Amino acid sequence: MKRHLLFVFSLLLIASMVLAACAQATPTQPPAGATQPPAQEQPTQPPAEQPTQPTTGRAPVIRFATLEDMTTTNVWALYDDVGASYWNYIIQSYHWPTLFTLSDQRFDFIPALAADFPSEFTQEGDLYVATVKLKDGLVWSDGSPVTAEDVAFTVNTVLKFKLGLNWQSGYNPDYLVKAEAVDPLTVKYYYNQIPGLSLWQYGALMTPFVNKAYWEPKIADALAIVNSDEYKALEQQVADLEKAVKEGTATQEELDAKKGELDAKLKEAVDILHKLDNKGEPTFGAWRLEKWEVGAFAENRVNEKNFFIGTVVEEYANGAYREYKEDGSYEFVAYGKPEGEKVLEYKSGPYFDSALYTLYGNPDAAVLALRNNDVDFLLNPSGLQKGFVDQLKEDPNITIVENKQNGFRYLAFNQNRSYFKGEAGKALRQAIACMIDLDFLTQRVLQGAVLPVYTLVPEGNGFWHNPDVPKWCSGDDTKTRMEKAVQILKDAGFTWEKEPTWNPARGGSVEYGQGLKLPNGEKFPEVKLLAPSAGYDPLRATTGVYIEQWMRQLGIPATAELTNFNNILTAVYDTGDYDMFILGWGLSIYPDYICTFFDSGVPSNPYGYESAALKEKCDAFLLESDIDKAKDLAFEIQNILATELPYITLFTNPIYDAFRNLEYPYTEVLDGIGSGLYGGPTIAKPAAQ
Amino acid sequence: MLKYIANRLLQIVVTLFIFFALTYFILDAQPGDITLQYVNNPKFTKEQREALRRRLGLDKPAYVRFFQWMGNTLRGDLGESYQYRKPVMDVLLERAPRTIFLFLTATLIEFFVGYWLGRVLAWQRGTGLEYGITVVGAFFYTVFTPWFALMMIYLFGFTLKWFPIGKFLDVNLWRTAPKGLTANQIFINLLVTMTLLAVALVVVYYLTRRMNPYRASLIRWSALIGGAAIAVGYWAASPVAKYAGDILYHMALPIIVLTLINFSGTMLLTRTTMLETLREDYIMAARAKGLPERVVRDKHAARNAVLPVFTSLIISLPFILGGGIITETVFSWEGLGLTLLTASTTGDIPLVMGSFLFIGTLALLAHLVADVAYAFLDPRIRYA
Repeated sequence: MKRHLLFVFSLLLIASMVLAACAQATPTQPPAGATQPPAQEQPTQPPAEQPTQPTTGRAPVIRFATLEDMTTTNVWALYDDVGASYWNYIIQSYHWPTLFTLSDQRFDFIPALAADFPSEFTQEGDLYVATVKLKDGLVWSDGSPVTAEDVAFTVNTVLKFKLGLNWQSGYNPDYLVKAEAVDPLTVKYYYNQIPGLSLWQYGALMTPFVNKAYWEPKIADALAIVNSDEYKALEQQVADLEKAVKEGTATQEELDAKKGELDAKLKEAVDILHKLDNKGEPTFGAWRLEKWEVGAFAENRVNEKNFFIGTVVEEYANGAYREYKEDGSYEFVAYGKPEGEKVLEYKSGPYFDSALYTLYGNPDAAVLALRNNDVDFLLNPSGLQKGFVDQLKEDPNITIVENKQNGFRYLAFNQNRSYFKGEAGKALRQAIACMIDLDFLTQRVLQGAVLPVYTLVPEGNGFWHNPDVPKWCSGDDTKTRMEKAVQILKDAGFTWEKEPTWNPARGGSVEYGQGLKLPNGEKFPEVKLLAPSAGYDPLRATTGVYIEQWMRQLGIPATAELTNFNNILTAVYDTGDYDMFILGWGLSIYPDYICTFFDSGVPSNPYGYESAALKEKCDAFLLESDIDKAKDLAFEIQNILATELPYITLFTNPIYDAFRNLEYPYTEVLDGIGSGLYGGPTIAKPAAQ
Repeated sequence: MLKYIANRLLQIVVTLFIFFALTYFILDAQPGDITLQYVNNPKFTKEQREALRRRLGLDKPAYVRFFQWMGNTLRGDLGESYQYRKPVMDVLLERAPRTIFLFLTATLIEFFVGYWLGRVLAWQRGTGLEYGITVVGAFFYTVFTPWFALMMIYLFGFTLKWFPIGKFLDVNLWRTAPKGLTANQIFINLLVTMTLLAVALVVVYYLTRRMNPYRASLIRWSALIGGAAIAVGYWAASPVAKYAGDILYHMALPIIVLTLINFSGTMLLTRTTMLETLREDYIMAARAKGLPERVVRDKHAARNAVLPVFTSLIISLPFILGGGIITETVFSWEGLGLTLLTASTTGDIPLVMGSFLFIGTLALLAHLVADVAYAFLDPRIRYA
């Protein structure tokens, strides 16, 4: 027995020794070569300040609840398709600078790091050039000056690696040839044609740029691949093959194979770029990333070197914009003389030393955390659900804000199907639009939870919104709607076995039409309307069911199929096997989407919609560099779209934000504070007690 | 025995291949792929989508991709996660410690609670205690987990404020943590501590199994208390004690919930097997010999009844890697379960396959271990 006891205690002793040995490895420094990737923490400089010892006169921390973690901190990945997500941007979009930006609430185009507006384009040889001058004295977070070299380096790197999505929409390689630094503060852009607003003011000039001194040596390996003789030879071979295919001396298969080789090489380079460690990267914005504990939280700290801290912003009723520093060291004025009634005035923060983004696995927990005063603001790209709003309304310490959303839900048609094509298809869509009573749908059926939308640019985007587009049968009663819809179809040559009629009995109702026939005499086939299921979006599911009935009243044998969201996307974007669907868009301020959605030259148009009138206007709109002329064109395009109806716009949801302990200089903003301003950590102040 | 193990290993290889092939093709058969998540951006053109599909290898047929995946996996390369754009192994290692620590702890606790209560139930058959505990156990076993977990958070987290509302750490504490210290380091060291303690206790159990039950029990309890004291002492003296304490504090409510939901499965299994054992002749013989009831229960009945319960424990252990999707979601415990869920819904096939590779392999090995362990636990079992 004693032997056993001795053995047991020996084991415990050994265990304690092992633990003691581990204790030396536990501390603050991770063991070298540890297989577990450490939580990403960056940058390392300047040294972390203890948040409990504020020295800046700011409040210690603004606390946000988030529902998904970041996936990358690498700027090249962040603005490419890999990193393009709301959850990455709410924390990091403040880190990198742009030359221009949009003003608060009114979305005026105003300089950010640029000293003034860009020059006009002039022709230089085959190319068109314009210059932008940077503000003098700007510095990165490490104290080094911001120069035109930084801008040119970023533009040329993006072009060289053909980076996608947000990089590409800013620095579009189809139009932008290169950028160069003329002097330390002047950057010159070279385009192969004069770019329109979407490519220039709302494109290149609003796309971020990075610190050249930091990144240039880091990207050397990736650059070596795209600068290699092998890569250049492949590029040449692809170009030769493209020419040969056109001449008929090579096959498409040969070209595709060579393109595949080129793609693989480029992928190798881009992968290196996307995975580069950015520890210690100098940034510019008011915030810099201090810490990221993967799966738990991220923290931004104030970048004290940010130029705009303490800048006063004023917007006037006469349209004028002014920003200045109170010490008189800086002033910028645009869009008229700053006089008369001020519609907005605030001093830019941050008013907190830190912005803390705590991750919650589900909205219920995040809402509880807000109620429990664990967080100040709940971030969600689509705002708060109505149920949560009702819960939070009961708490007097919580402020609920409702805003208009820059987005809409719509009904679209597959115009590759003969029955939705051409003039007859247009008449059919107009008749359906006439039957859809948006006021009844939004106010009675959906109980006022949404607002009707009649054009692709929602009302909230006031400057670009055309309020005078055709509103099919708006304001008519059910009987008149039915009669007008029937007349539209008759005029287009549609016939019925039994025409829809109005039955005045019991308050009146539509006697459903039967046996609708196309103008060519063929029977109208059974069609399916795909809509998200009630579990995913009850509003769109309900709308789908109502539209099915309105279509059936006209004698169109439609069936609403409420299905998985991915099934709809697959049908629309992959197989093309659909008749109609209901989906939604979140939109940008500059409405170039009114063209990119439908331009048959752009392959993202899966609807098969083609319109010569639209193409003509869009060609002009996308190249228009004068904002007033662009607005006129945008209005005309909205008119065309509301007439030809490739989409029938349905409704937009208001967006709700909830916060506590905070005050904002304004809360009325398109897309809300959480989605439109990413929580506004730079302008939020601690609420007065 | 060796031949039996070799045969079983061969079966495992075949089963794994079938399992991986089925999983891969089922995942691939889901509508759409990961590039679909970008089509809601109007600036994401068809060309960009095709380029992305080529970059991810999604332009190749599923069977080509599957065999590529198999080949790479056999070479130790699990591929790259589509979502995170980093090696699958890195993603799994990043999330595994917190999942394993939570669910291993919860599984062991619920197993011991269930086993102990099951013994009591069988012994107290027909009494009010049996009915009471069975009803309570059945309630928790059948309760709707997300609702129950949310109610527990609402009661103990929000109303009483005894526990935090989800998460595995207190951000206010951790944002001031020393540079370089990560939650994963704490989780790993806690796991090492727990493993050492468990090994020590198993050894103590093994060494004391032939002793007088009273004396053996005393030694085991002493070892448990002594080991636990050493572990607590070690952590208390550590410079990161408060961070470890914070993680343990955050674990408390999830563990309570998991234990309440799961203990009754083990409890009812133990009760059933023990009732069968109690009808055996050797139990009657033990009583006839005049052995004390506690010895009959613990040494003769419970030890023989433990076999299926032990099997159930062993087989459940690999699934700890999968975590609990519901538990991790409700408690904001960003571990493997949530990762697996997100990867499945977004079509991140390499990440899903990487997770299943571990779960599948370990599950099959666990079956093998359980079978082999049978031979040691029950001398009547022999493998030809």
